Amino acid sequence: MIRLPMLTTLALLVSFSISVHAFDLGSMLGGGGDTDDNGGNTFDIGEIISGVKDISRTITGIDEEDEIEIGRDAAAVLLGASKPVNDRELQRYVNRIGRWVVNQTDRSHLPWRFAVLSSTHVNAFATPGGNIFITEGLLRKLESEAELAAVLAHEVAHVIQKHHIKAMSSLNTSGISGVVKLAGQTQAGKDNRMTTQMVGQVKDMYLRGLDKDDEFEADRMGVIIASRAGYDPFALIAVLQTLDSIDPEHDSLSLLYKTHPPASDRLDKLEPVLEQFSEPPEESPALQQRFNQYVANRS
Amino acid sequence: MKKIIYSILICLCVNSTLYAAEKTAVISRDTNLFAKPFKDADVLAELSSTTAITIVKRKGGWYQIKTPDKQGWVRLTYVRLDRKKNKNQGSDSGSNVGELLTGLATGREKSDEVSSATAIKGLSEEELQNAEPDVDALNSLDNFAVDESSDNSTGLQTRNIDFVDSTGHAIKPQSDVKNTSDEEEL
Repeated sequence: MIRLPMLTTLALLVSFSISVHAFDLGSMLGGGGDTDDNGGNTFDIGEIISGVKDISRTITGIDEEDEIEIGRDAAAVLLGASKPVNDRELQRYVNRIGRWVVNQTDRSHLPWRFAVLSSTHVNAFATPGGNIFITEGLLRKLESEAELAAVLAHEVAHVIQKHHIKAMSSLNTSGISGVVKLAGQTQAGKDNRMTTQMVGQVKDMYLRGLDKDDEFEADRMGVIIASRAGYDPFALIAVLQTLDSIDPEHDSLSLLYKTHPPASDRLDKLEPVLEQFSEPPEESPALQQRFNQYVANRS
Repeated sequence: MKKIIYSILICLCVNSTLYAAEKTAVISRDTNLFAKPFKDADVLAELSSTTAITIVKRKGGWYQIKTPDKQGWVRLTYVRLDRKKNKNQGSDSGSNVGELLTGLATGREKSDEVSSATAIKGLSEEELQNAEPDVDALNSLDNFAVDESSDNSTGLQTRNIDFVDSTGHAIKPQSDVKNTSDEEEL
């Protein structure tokens, strides 16, 4: 099939789903396909509508509500492996920086939550809908607020581009609708319990990692987002060079390198992005002071 | 006599600063050594990849570096810190580039040594595999959240910059959330 008719077909399907839903054809026909007392013979208009909605979802994205719900499930799993560090001042500081960073994007309305996890692994994670985690192991490698902002901005970019939704959809046999359905079962269940299947899919995604190109994209976008926030655009370079200088065989980096391209490759890919930046902005000493206060000099 | 002592003290200070700041590294790709931190500056030499260098300092996207016989500037991304020194030392060591980049001491104690003696914990593959979802921990994150609307001034100047593609060309932000529910309500 050549390209144009294919696109037209998709466009027709999408517009069909919109108009069908607008007129609520399902209820006009007597509550959708589930009221067929004679059983089995009539087609299930509800199924068809939801099927077409799935197609429109994959084109235009996922409902934000579903995205947030999936993200909460994913975050609960990660928090099952490592708890937030018990340091209110630190957590509040990281949330302030994170909030400042996400306010430079067009998804600032999401329920963003940032947390430092007590893991000594060097890593950071995001979940759909705006939960961002950085491990204490990585935090201890950072030397400035700009570097912290760079790491957070990389994770924020994953959320904005819905990279995790994409990754989970590709692991689920029913694609995006399968993931949404699984997350929906959590909501309905007792005590907010997730199904084992959902837990399994979340773990699978974080153990496999995201698409490598999505990692490079998050690096590029992260640099820009952090720069929009007024931070040194070269701070991510500093973080990657620090990571690159650690023995890659060390245990603390095992999951990071299983799921991310080597730091050196990421540095190579960032060069064209940084062409446009000559000088970093003047940073007030107050930035370093508060970074030292909340992070570096923390007991 | 005083003068000499002062000179010695100054020398010591200068030396120790240099010692703290200078890092050994290698060039990762064939590149030019520039006289100044600009792309159109005079080229002093051509450096081939794996050339061993010493980093003097950083300015924007450039490192001032030394080779045994030359000194000049190279692009930041063409440099890799020397890993041999950090071999087998892992997460609690490694060169902290930021120290070099900012020139500001963080005053961090080397308390990391303590944790390097203990096992690396949390978020290993195995620990993630065995994790039980913790909804309470998730809900506890609300306690630290900062609202979109709250006063969040950080003393930083925001800038207007477009996202770029992998070749560095500006692209329009593609992240606008097209909410399907909005469309369904049409």
